[in-house]
Amino acid sequence: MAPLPSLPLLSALLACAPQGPGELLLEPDPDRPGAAGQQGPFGAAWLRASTAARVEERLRVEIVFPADAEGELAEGGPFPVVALLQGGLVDVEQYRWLSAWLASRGYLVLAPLHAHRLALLSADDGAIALSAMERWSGRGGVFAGAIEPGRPAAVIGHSLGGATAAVEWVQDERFTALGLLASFPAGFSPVEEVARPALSLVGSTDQVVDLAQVEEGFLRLAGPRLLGEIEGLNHHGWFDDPRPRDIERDGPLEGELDELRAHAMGALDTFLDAWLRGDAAALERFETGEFEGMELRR
Amino acid sequence: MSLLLPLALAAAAFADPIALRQAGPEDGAALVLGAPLVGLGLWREDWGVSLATRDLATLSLEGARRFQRDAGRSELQLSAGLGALWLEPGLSGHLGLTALRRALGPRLGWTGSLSLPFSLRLAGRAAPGPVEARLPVLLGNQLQVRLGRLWLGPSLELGVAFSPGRPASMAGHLGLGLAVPTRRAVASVQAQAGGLAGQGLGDRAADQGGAEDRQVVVVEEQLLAAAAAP
Repeated sequence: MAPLPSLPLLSALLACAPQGPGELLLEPDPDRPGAAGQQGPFGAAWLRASTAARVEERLRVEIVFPADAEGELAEGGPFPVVALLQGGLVDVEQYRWLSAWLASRGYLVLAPLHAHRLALLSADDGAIALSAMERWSGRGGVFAGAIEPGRPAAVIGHSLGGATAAVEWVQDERFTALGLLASFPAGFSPVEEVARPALSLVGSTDQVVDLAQVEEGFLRLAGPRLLGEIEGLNHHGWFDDPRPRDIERDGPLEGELDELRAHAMGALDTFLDAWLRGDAAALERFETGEFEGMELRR
Repeated sequence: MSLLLPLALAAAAFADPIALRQAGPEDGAALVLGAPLVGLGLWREDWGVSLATRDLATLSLEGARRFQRDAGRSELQLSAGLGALWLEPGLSGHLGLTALRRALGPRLGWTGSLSLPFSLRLAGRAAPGPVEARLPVLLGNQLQVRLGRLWLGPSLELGVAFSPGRPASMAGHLGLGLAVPTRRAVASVQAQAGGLAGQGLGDRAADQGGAEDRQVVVVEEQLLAAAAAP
């Protein structure tokens, strides 16, 4: 029988932090302004890493991070963290447009690969991924110094991932901000007890999520809040490469997808800048401003 | 078995280390290949030992004592063990309680189980919070078909795992169980397992190991080698 390597050796080998470079999704471009609703100057690269979860399970996480032209972590960190939770039966890869957008604006995105693509079956994967990134950031490898533990983070989720994001937000105070994308908190999730900020965005032609439930869920939020209804956006407009069944059960896109997404991102960018970066102008806009292409409720 | 190994190595997701409770009521070896569990269990009389890896990211060694009634149709298993955690280095402790009910005919069988395999991180730190523990409550079913001396069949466990201070998560295991209820196989596998189950059985293995037994050993070697790889 081949001898097993000793445990210390295995530990040393396997405890290594993730190594770069990542695969580029977006080249860096200093001419991209990075205002709310626009991509930023950073490049965006992704890679996947594994961490331990719930004592013995393996959790795989896709990390999309601000990158230089070589796919290494960009200068300018530490970067605030956004945990992105996938919708039911939607692949993490299908949200790369969103992850790359956020990374280009200087956010590090953690997208756990939930078992069976059903986030609600393991509703602390975002927190576990954040803990892993806190450790990796303190080690060598591509994420050395990438984030600052203790700094406000956000958890956002699409559809079923949004309901799960609400669970994580209630559960873990490291998640200062909650983003609900075409989603609403489940009835069993006591969001009324949390005074932290939340943003709820939904498309006006979304036929998958019940707009009345989105509004009802929004009204349960107790902290600073904003509900935006994006004119012309549907449910599958939040992810790429929808399958026929995603399209059949949904309402139509009414407008250019890139433009509708930019409208949505105007609000999401402002929300993240306000609460994760402490940007005073973004905070004022979040509290009193208007956003192109959407109806607002506060 | 060589065809099953790649399936086991490709497995990923969620599960709980079990191998012993897949075994029949007699002494024997039980191999569990599935998603994401790969385990090998060995019984001699009412004592057993199992070696299991989940996601090829942990390796757990457990000892078990079983209490049988109704000629082996009802059974209670108590198990305890230690595990090596590799992704975030550490040690885990295990305590398990399983109740089983079997219906075995000459060719077909069924085993139902209710299991509570508690795990606790003893060293190292991974999850948010100071204590990381996991208590799944699992309902299991295994169908068994007898092919010669081999009992073989699909197994499915599903349940909910509880962790203190964290939301509940889904737990489960989908796999293929193989049990060889012969003393000869037990002796051979245990002898090759590097003294995991005691010295006395090794002597019997040296005398009785046959072709079938060696195949079980080869699978075990491959699993261990695979488990040692990152």
